[in-house]
Amino acid sequence: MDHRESLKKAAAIARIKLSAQEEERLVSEIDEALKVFSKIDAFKDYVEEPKFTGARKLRSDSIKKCDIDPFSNSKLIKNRKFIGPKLVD
Amino acid sequence: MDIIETTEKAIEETERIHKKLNCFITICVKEAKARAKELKMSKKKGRLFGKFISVKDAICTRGIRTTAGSAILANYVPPFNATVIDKIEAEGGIVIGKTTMDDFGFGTFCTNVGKGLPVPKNPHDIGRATGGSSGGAGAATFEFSKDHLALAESTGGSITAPAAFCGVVGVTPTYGKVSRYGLIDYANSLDKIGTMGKNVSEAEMLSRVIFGKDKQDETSWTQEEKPAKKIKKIGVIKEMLNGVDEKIKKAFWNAINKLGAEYEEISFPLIDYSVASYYIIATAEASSNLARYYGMRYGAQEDISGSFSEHFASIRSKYFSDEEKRRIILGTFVRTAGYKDKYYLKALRIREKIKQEFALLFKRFDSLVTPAMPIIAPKFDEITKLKPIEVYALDSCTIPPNLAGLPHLSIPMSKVNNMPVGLQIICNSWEENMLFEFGRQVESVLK
Repeated sequence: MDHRESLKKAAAIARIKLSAQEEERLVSEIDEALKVFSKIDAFKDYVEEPKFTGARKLRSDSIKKCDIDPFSNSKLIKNRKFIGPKLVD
Repeated sequence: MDIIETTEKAIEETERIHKKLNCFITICVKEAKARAKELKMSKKKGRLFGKFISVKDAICTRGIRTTAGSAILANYVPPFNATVIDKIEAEGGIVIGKTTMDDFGFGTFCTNVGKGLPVPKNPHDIGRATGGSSGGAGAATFEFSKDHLALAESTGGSITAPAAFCGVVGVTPTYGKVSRYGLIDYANSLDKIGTMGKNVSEAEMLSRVIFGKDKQDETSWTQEEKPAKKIKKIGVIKEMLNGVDEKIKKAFWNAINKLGAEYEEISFPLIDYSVASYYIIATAEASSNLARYYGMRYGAQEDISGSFSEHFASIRSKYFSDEEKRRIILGTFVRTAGYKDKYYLKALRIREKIKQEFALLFKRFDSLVTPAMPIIAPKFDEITKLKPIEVYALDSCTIPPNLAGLPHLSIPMSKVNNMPVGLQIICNSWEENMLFEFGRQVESVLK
């Protein structure tokens, strides 16, 4: 089964803009990988859905003074707010 | 020599090794000297006093550039330490440098490094790769003369592969044994911070410092370890010898026969699904984790141009490498409606079944033993001829214990064509005592 069109859509969802050359090359490589990974179709054993294995009790929120500057790695800031592109055109 | 003098010597050695092998993204000259002064004044000595620790560049170090091997984080400077770094410093260790790696851990050979970042060379043959993704750690561990230990990380084999290719010991602990707080994520359900050393005792020394539950990582846990016991029976999984180079197989069976333990060859057919299951789960998680790199809060940034999607897509497309794009697209695809059940949920079920089967095997065997890698370290020009799917297939030995979250280590067992090859020892979850004890026994027999 050829997944190329779906892979191009996945790239758009992931905000990866591919050039025509990249599209041809990367999409072919991923499609080839998917053909190999499709061997898992042959796995038929029923297994229960994986259970959550993390901590069963969430830690309580504790509010304390933050000694980390959240803006230290950004230059796109104004008045202690991050600046980003318009959400809606 | 006091700690300040030994630190000066360690810095010189680090610079010499980097010049030869390209192991480091950052050498922490200023920070190491400052730390040495603090340690001298405090007079406190811990378990790592006098030891110099290289740190894989996916682990955050306050005030020291941390790139995760990726161009998109080339100028990222964390404002905090990973928990493992705080633990190392509390025990008197000095961070000497940040080691090279495949971008975000996406690689088997440590050649998928971000643009502008160094590709490390194998200390046994500089025309060959070190193995990845913790390639810089592997090369540095072999080349340092003494007093060096490496902090590394494994998702699908990124400690075992470079340890085997560079001829050092690499330890990957039980998933959850070491806090991931401050580790730049590849795949949250698979990532494990581990260690490398010239021998098992050295790797264990650093491992014991970093083990333990951390409130800041709810997936970490502390569980009482059973005492180590004599290894009576080991299992050899037949399917994990498929595709292994014949000379490596010969070296493997020679090593098994020297060990003197009773062994049995067993069939574990589900292992044949492990590579596919791993790559589906790992890329699914990675695609979600890497969504945070879009040029706003940290990482590569440019002046805003275009709409919301256009601007972020242009940053991501410019700074992510081919392998990063490949894995993000694949991981997004396997989670999308219409494909999620066929790929992602099926892969999770396979992983659960593999874990259950391993648990049954450990009722019969004290340990499982396999070759660490199916090939010797390849030459750089050989790697360029491999297709991505061929590279993924070479993780066949390392993926199964990583997928199941089992503790394992790689020990040098022999040489093939003058290149080191490793033996992989796998124990049951939380049996690090057994792992280290067996590792020491194997080491003494194979020397």
